[in-house]
Amino acid sequence: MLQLFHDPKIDFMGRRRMWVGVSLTLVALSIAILVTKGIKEGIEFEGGAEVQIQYKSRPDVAAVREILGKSGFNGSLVTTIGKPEDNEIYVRVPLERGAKDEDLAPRVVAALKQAQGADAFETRSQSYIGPAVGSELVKKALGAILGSMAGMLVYIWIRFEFQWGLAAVIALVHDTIITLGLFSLFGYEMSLPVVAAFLTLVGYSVNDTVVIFDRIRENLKARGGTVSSLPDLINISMNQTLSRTVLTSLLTWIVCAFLFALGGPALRDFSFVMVVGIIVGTYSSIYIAAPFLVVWQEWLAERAKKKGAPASARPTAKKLRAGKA
Amino acid sequence: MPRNITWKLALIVGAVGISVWLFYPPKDKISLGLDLQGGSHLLLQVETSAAVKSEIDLAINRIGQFLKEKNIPYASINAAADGAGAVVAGTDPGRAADVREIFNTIVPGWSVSPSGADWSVHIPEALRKQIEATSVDTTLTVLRQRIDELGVKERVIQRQGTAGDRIVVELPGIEDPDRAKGVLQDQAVLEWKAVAYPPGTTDFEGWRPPPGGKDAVVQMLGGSVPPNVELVPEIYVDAGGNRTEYWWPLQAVAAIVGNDLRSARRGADQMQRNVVDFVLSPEAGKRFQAATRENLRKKMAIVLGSSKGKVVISAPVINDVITDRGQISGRFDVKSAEDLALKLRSGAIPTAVTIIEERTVGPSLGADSIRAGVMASLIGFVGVAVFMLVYYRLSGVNAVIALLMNVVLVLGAMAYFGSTLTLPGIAGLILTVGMAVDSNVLIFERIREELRIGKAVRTAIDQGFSRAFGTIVDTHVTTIVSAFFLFTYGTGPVRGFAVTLVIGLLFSMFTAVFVSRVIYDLVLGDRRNVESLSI
Repeated sequence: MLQLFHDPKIDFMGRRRMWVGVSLTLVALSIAILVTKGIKEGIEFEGGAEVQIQYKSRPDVAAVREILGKSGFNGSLVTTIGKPEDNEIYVRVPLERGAKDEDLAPRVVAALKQAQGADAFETRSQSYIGPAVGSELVKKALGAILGSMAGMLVYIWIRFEFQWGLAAVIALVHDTIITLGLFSLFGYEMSLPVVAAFLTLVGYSVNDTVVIFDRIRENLKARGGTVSSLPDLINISMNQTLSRTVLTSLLTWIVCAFLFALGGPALRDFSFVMVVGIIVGTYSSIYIAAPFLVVWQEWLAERAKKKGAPASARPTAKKLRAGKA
Repeated sequence: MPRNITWKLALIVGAVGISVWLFYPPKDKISLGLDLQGGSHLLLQVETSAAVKSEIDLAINRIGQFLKEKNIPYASINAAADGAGAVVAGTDPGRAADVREIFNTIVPGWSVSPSGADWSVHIPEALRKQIEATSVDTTLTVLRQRIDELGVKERVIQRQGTAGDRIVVELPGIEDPDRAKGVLQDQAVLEWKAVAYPPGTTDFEGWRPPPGGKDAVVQMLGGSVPPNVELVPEIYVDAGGNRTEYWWPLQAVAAIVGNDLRSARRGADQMQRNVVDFVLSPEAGKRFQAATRENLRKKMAIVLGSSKGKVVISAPVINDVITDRGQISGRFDVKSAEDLALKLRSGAIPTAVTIIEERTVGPSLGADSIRAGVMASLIGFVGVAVFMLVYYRLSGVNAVIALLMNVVLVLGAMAYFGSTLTLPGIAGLILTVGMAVDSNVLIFERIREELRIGKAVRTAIDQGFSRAFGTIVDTHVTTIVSAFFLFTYGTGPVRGFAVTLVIGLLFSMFTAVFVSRVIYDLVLGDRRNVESLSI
C-alpha cells in the first residue's frame, strides 16, 4: 500500500509557540508589504478603459505608447499579453478623477487605427468601467468576504462550540492576509475573479480545519469527554488526519497549478491566489486553528485560577465541550 | 448480489443517462457566457432626474397652450429654480379661478401656491418617485424593443442594483458594439421648436443664423440669451470634412414633443435621398396643427435630442398647417436613416442613459479562452486521476469513476437549468473535481485506518463510509456557504463560477458517498469473506 505517511507521530503541538511566532511574523510582513507596496487595482476598481488587441506581426509596444501619448491618453499602460507568438498587447487607460467617459475604449481603438491603419490589428476585447463602480465593488467584496467568514463562524459554532468557530476564523484571517501579502509582493492585479478566488479560498481552507476538528471531537467522545492533556489529543487527531489533509490539498493544488500554468492570462491571477492560498490554508489548519483551542483552554484555566477556583479546575478537555455531533 | 443494489444501479445509470442526454452535444446544449462566445455586457445607469425634468417641460408646454386657448394673458412660464416645478408669472389676477382650473386639469395632484399675479406649481415627492420608477420601466421596455430590432439572439435585459435604476444588457455575439451602444443610449427625442427671431427681423421665411458660432447669434439677440430662448446648433460637414455650426435661437419650450410617434420608417424623397417618414398620434397631431397654424410663413426647427446633445436637423418654413404626417430630411445614409427611424419608432427613452460599465469580448478571444481553459482542466483532471490510481490502486478506479460521473452530472444540470458556462465557470468545474476528490480521500483514508486496526474488509468499508459522512457534510456546507456569498457578490462570469461550484459540490455528495459505495458493493458482490481490498 502506497502511503504518504506511515503511522506518523509528529509532535505538532510541542512546537506550537514557534509556529505561532512564524505565523505572526509572516502576517506582520504581509501587512508591511500591503502598506508599503499596496495592491495594484484592476480596472474594475479604478475606472477606465481596457483594450486587448492582436496584431498581424510582432507589435511595437513603444510605438503604441507614443501614439497614445500623442493622442492625449494620459497615464496609459501598454504591455504584451499571452505568449510572444500571439502578437497581442493590452492597453489600459485610467479615467481622469471623477470624470466619466463612455467612449474611452472606442476612442483608444480609433486612435491606434488612425495611426497604424485599420487592418493592422484585431480588437479582441474592450471594456469600460465608470467611476462609480469601483468604490461599490470594494464595499461589496469586503462585505462578501466578511460575510462568508461570519457564515463559517456561525456554522462551526452550531456544529461545535463558539471557540472552535473563532479558531477557524482566525486561521482564515491569517490565510487571507498572507495570501494578500504575496499577491501584492508578486505584483498581481486585483480584479473581480481574484476576489472570487479569495472567497473560494475562504470556503476551501476551512475544510482542512473542519476535518481536523471533527476528528478531535470524535476522539474526545471516545474518551468520555475527558483527557489528561488536550495538546496530546490534538496531536493524535492531527496525525490521524494528516494523510488526508496533505493528500487532498496536494490534489486540489495540482489542479490549480495546471490552471495557473496553462489556463491562459485570464485565469492566471485567479489561480495564483488558489495556488498560494491552498498551501497557507493547509499550514494554518495544523498550526493555527487547532493550537488556538489550547490557547483558549489555557486562558479559561487562568481566569478560573484568578477567581480563586479550586485547583481541581486544571485544564482538562472536559471544559472543551464539543457540542453535538 | 446484495439487496437493493438493483434499484441503486438503475438510479445511477438513469442519472448519468439523463445528464448525457441533457448536455450532449455540449456545443448546442450548454450556453456559453459572453467571455467565451464573445459579445457585449453593458451596465446602464438610468438618470431618472431627467424624466422629472421632461415631465415639467411637458407641463409648461401644456399650461402655456391652455392659457392661450382661454385667452388668459400671462408674462412668462419657466421651470422653477429648484427643478421640481414651474412658475407662471404675470397672469391676470381677475382670472385666478380659471388659472387654478387649468392647473387642476393639467397637473392634478401638484401643489399650487399663488402669490399675487404669479403662480408656482410643484411636483409632490410621492409623484416624483412614481415618475422615476415609471421612467426606468419605460426605459426597459424601449431598450428591449430596440435590441430586438437589432436582431440580437438570446439577449438579456434586466434591472439591477438596490436603487433599481440600473439596467444590465447582455448582447452575445455582437459584431459592432459601438453601434449597439449608440442605439441603446440615444434618447432620440424629436422636438419641434419655433424660431425665436432676433428683434427687428422682417424676412421670416429667409432668415438664417449667421455663421461665426454662438457669439454672433447672441449679439443679434442683444448681447444675452433671453430666459425663454435656447441656442441649438445645426451642423454642416462639407466634403473636405470641415465643420460649420449655425446656432439657431429657438423657443425653449417645444411646440410639440414628438415622442408619441405612431410610426417612423426610412423613405426616399423625390431626389432619392434618404429621409425618415413619420406619422404622429392623433393627439400629437392636434397639437402639431395648433403649433403650425401659429407659425405659418415662419420657420420651425426640427430638433433631435440625443445623448450627444441637441442638434437641429432642419428648419423648414411652415407653408401649410400640418397635422399628423411628416418627413425628416437630413444628410442620412441608409444605415443612419434606419437607426433614426428605429429610435423614433421604439419611442423615446424618457431619460438619459449612461453606460457605467462595458465589457466586450471578441469571438476569437472567447475561442482561445475555451481552448486554454478546457486544456488546463483536462490536464488537471488527468493529473488527479493518475494520482488516485497510483495511490489507491483499484479503489482509485472507483474514485475516478465517481469524479467522471460528477462532471457528467454537473454538465447535465447546467444544461437543464440553462445556466451559462463562463471562463471562471470552467475553472470552477475543475476546482470542483479537486474538492470532490476530497470526499473520496476522506473515505478511503478512513477505510485504511479501520483495516489497519484489523477490521474485516466489509466492516472497514461500512465504518469508513459512515464515519467520514459527518465530516463530508461539514466540509460541503462550509464551501457552499462561501459560494453563496460569492454569488451575491459577483456578476456574470463570477456568478457562473459560484453556480458550477455549488452544483458540483452537491453532486459530489452523491457520487463520492452513494456511487462509490455501490461500486464497492458491486465489485465485492455477496462473497461472504472478502480477504483483501485494493486500496
